[in-house]
Amino acid sequence: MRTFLLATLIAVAATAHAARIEVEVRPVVDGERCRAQVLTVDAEPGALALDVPGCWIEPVHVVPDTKRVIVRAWPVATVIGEVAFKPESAIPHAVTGSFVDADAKEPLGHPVHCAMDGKRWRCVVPARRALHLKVTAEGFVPLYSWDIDADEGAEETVGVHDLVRGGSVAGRVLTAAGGPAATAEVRIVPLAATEQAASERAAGTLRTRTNATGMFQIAGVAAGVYRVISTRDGFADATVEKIEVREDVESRLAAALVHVEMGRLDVAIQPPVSRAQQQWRMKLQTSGARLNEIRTVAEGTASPAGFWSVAKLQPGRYRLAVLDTAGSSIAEQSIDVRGGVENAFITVTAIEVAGRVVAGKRPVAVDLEFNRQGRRVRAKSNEEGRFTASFPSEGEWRPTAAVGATRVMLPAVNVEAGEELELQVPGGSVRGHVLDERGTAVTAMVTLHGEKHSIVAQVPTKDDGSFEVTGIDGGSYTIDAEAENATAGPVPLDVKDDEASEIELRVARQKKVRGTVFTARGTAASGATVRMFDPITGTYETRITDAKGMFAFDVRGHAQVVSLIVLASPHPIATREAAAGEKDITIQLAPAGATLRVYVHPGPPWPTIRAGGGVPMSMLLFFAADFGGGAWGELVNGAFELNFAPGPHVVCFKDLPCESVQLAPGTVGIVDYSPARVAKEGK
Amino acid sequence: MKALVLLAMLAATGAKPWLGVGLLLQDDTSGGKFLFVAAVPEGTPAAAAGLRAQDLITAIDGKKITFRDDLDLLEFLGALEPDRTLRLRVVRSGKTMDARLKVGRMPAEYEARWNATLARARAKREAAAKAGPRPPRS
Repeated sequence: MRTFLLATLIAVAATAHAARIEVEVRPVVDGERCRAQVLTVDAEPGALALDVPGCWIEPVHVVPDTKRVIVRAWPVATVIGEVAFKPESAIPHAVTGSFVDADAKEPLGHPVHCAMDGKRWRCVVPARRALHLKVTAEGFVPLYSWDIDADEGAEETVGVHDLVRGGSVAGRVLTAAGGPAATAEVRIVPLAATEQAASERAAGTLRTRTNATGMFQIAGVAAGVYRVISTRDGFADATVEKIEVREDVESRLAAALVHVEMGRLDVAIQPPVSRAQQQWRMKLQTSGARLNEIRTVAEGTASPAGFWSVAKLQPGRYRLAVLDTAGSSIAEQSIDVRGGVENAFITVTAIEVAGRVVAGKRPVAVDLEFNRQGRRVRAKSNEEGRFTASFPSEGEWRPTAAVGATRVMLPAVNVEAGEELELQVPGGSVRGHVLDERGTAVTAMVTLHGEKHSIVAQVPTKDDGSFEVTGIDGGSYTIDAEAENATAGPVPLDVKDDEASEIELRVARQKKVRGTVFTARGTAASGATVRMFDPITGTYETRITDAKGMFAFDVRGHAQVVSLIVLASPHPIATREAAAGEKDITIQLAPAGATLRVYVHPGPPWPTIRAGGGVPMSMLLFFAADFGGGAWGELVNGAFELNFAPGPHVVCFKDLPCESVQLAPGTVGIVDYSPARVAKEGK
Repeated sequence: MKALVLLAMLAATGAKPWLGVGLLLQDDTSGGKFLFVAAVPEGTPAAAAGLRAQDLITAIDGKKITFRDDLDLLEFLGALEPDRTLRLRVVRSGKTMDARLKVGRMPAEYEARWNATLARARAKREAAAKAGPRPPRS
């Protein structure tokens, strides 16, 4: 039998410094074997522990020159239990334990005398006193048995404690009155440095319920940072943020979680109804768990007398909004809800304004949105172009009109009570069909581009392949369509004011351009950057070669030839033309060549480089600026360094004279387009 | 391209994780994914692990790269525990090797950069969700 002491009560051995003192034993509760008595013992200053038959004696501290001490005593009971370890292979060498007083707010942690036999243990404890047992073993989460209250001489069995590895969180939950909140559900949610998906959070959530004294413990918790949330029916949630859990350590909450009553918000609105005698629509929102997330807590309609009430609100800050019939917020108020009833009075000073929307000379039905200093007002015009809107204040508002799928920013309007608004949206439009190569209608996404490829409008086709883009200004555009694995355009298109332009778009199947990049030694050049330039769209796409050195692009249906540029330091930059649909392209990088160092302003536009063969490389950009150096060259002390094949190169920048550089093998050519030179010589 | 750059210089101060490496989430030609090491500034945990620009990371702790988007990757990186060691499968010039990267603690000056990267990734996911799937071919 293996026996050891979890912690023993032993009389402190008398030493040369010991002094004789009187100890008065005072039972806290009456017991048959533990009676009041006075003992004389030899004790030295410090902790005094006594072994009095039939009594459990609370330890006391003896100061020098003490003649008499009073100790509290309880009758004795025995608690029996067992420990199991998971995993079994990790049974620790030692198990320790202690009892704490269940009535104390802070654990007393008095040690008790326990003996172990294998995995079974017996502890001599004070009887008739509510206690919590805490069993700990090195490398395992401590576990509790709550509220042990044994009679004198009784043997209380507490069953098996399954000790598991990992951390634990323990604490206490109280009511607002300070009493224990029993059966509250406590859960812990892992907090990542970033947001996690709700499902991931739920998967990592552990939960338990508090006992009669409001205590809880959640064991087997992986190390990390957690939020502890206690939920109790009819009460507001109680939360503690950022509890750090470490392996093999118990994290105790520094303060109890306290449940206060849920709040109720009673709102009175003045005037009670709108000028059109309609009841106000109400919305209550609060911030969500995610940054910048706004969560709607309650929506409803105020009574004809102008009252609205929301019950069962968690304490916190809310935004209360009064909406008009179009859903626009016309009065807002920030409200702090605590436990109990919160009253709010909100006055609506909205100005109702009527107006008309025309496209060219025709009235049009559009969705309108007016914005001013973060406030938003919505309205909808009818077939006659008529609308009414409720504005929270007079002044300059910026309207946006959604004409079909097109959103158009309109000039600012001045809103004044009694004044009618006249809004003019562009009257140009484009309509047409998207067909495949056999003339069959296809569903596709049609995009209208303005200057510099900016997207003016994007609309899906209907089932018959037709589409219409309305509300656009007269001018020059390009239009394209993208169906599954097939594209059309872009093709140029002129739109006239107040006229509908017709166009038919034919999509052609996309083609693949695929290949492999090899190093000068013939091994796969993984991690090389391959850029494809599409001359029809004037756009670039970028791929990084995979572990086999391979890359692949989808080329728009009407493209015939594309340009490929490969950057893989320290190899010289490689270029190649590729036919649309060309596969098994092989690009062999040359051995490390020469370096071109270009001093530049650290931001676009970048200089353009014309390589020795006269191939224009205007598409060759200095990627490095976007990433702070690295795979695409280094921006060091105001200069980029890029690898080129030896030979003549021409570098041009803005309106400055082009620089011609002859790069010799293993050398560094320098071109200076530094801000200092540009400022000095630029126009 | 710029929006794709994930500067995994993980933010926040104190005990927050930091790798100190510029990463790009990429599709390979076999339907899988990998991380492209765009930049490895000196003095970072990534530099200490021997990572170099143009390396590919094809597995972390024995698991293939399966992040569905930039935000997914950032969330993984942001939840790493400082001092933990990651086992990386690295491909350099077509050759495969292993690297052990000990997660560091984020210097305060990178916090704004990390937050901006995170905000871009979040906006990108929201934009992708709004755009929805492309129309099917009839």
